[in-house]
Amino acid sequence: MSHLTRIRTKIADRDMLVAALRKLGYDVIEGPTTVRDVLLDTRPVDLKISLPQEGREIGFALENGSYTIVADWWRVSETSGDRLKRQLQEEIEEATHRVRQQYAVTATKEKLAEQGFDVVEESTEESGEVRLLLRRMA
Amino acid sequence: MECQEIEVLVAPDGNVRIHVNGVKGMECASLTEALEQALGGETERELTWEAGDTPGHEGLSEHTTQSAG
Repeated sequence: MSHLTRIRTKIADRDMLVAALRKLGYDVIEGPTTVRDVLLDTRPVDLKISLPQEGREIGFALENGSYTIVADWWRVSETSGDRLKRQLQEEIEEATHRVRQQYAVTATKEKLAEQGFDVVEESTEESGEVRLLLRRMA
Repeated sequence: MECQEIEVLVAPDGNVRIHVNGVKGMECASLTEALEQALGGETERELTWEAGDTPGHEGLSEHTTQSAG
């Protein structure tokens, strides 16, 4: 018998989130800390990273057992022209996806290694999908 | 000895598909539980049947087939 499980990934483990962010090359500032928006208001988060562009920050706040991403979309829309707004939104969205993907890869390797599985194949498809094949003898 | 294999596909947006092969019955479901928890636990599961398993059960939910494996 085999089974297929689909998971809508939520970031649930702080240590693995930090590991994933570092793997992606971000400097992680561990909090409690705050992120500031373009008007220099602040919001509390548990940890944060900076995006290269204009020092914008993405924060991660623990809510109901998983980390949500804190970025200031409405401030962007309020104070920016359409083009900049789109650009910043795309940048934040792309970073968010990269973080979730790397988090899932990190979690897969770590959790299945704990159960005796070795990664025997790892590849990135043209679509950007990461494929991991893990095996153990039992 | 049997070879147990797990294939994990992580989409560019971070959503995950896990395919488990060569694991019997209840263990099949429990094997990936720790990983599913780390990924937030919002899962959808389908059982598939290989040669030698009871035929004709495709699409049944996990809850109704737990004793079959």
